[in-house]
Amino acid sequence: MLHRLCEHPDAPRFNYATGDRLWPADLPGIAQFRYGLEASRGPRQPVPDSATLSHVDRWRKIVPWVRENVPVTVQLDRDWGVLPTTSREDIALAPWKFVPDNEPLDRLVIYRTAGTTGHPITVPHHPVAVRCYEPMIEFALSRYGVKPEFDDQSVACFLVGAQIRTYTYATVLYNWNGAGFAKLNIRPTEWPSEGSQQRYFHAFAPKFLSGDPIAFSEMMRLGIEASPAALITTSVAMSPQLKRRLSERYKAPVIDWYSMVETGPIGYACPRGHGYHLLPHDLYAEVLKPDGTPAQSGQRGEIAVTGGRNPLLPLFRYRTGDFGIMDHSPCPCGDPMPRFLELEGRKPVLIRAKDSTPVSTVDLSRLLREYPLLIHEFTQHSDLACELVIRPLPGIAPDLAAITGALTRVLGELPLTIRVDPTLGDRQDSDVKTLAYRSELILED
Amino acid sequence: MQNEGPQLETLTHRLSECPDDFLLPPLAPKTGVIHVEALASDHFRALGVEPGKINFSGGDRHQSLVALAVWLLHDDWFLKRPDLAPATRTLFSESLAKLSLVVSAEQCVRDPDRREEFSRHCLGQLNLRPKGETIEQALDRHNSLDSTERDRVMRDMRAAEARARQVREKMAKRAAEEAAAKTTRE
Repeated sequence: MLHRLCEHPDAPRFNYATGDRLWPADLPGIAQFRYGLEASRGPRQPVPDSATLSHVDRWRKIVPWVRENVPVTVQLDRDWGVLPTTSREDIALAPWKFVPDNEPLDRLVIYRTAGTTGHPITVPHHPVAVRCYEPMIEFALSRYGVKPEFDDQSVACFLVGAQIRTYTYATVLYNWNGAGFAKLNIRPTEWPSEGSQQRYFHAFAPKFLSGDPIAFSEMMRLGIEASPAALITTSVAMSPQLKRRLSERYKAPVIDWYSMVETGPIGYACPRGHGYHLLPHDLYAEVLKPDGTPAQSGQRGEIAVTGGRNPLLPLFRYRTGDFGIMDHSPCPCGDPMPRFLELEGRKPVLIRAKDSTPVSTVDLSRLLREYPLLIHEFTQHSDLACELVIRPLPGIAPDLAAITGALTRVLGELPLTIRVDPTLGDRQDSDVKTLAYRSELILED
Repeated sequence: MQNEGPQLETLTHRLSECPDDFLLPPLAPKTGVIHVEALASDHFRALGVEPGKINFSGGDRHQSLVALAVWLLHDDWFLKRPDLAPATRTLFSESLAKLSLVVSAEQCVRDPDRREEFSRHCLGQLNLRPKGETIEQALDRHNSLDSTERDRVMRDMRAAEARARQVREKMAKRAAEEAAAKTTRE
């Protein structure tokens, strides 16, 4: 299968090579997770369960950040609501403080989030945690009545991207019986000849597609035909209009997927449209007020999670930067797990170069992370003029001329102003987070 | 520290006047000068109890601290207290073994802070506190001088720094390598 994916006459120019990095010894743990995902579903209380408390208690001894910030004298169940929280900034500044003292580093893998919606960070990860995505995808698909059979003669999934530059590769996945998988960039420049994308999709007929609204929108614009059983859309919220058009065009359900590199999948859209259900059973989710204390039932706040399964990044009251309401009441769809309502998903942001070519925020993030910035806020106005506000890393003065030059190379000669604000991102008493990207341009449905 | 002991100044003064002989190397099969076990046995006999066996698990430094403790406790105030013999045996065998990992007998004589620490350490192990001090005052002062605790904190800090460096280096190395395939965008 891998040979076929790579050697097909219409195969794109893959620029990366990787696999699932699964070891035989990993399989029982993944099987246990897969079982727990179904068996451990049930109503949740708006307080941390005993397993979560037990994990945190253990982390007080072995996870530097927790050791420093959650004294052993604190009674976790009693004092939970006033414990400190963690955020993207904490990981940006010192990711090693979250790696447990006793955790071997031999299987450490790194994901650098491109900052589509937040700010670039380096996330320590573990292949087993990544491989737990597959059971979660299966679960979400099944909730929409999609139960694909995977085998080594077919392709399970194409992950579709539309970026100036992104890693692309093909591989096979043991979790799915050796079925094929490819991460693709559908921009025409990546393919051997005109129409290659269409022929490649037709030749391999992936069972489902994953991607983001901008990539799926571009896929439709390019006229790429496919017959997936479902489309899983990630990264940013999708407008109802685009969702409907995609669903009609590909005759398949479009499943919103709430996931972050730091946390892994958090939720999936309820098939009956009642918000997003908490997906993994090993994640404790809560909604916080700006001061970090738990919001009241029905009160809007920032979503924070504790637990997870990444042994190299245990999550402790990790503030996602996303806002919503938690609802613990039963859902008509039948999934007993609590839901996030009015989830302020991360909106797709359309940036255009001077010649109107769409420029992915991923590409801009990749460019900006070459500079010593803690966070940034990039805005494009309706006249295409751009404004960048940056908060440099403490004690370092970034080269503004170099940033201007780099942005101009990607965006063309657009009006651009750069401003340094050392307080950017400091929390105010509001639920408006610092967005890495804003645009006054409208993504056409 | 429940009970009041002698004045601290008496003890630190006594330590400062410790004869050099007590600081000579402990007797070993082919080296050394002073027979520490014999010194300890004499001390217990002076208390009117059976000497028993002392476990010198901490090696020469441990033996030297026991020799120094024998000098310190061979004072009339202690020699009138045979009830302190069991705690004295534990002091010699166990707690001085730990203390010997971070401080030498020489330091406990020459350095004023270490003299005070050693005196307080011995008193504490005998469930005594310096005359005129409350339990809280004695504990607070002892903790501020406690070499073992300070050493533990320093070792923990060094270990944490080493681990952070190891993780940083590994992350930098792995950042340039292949991650695992991911089936969804985030």
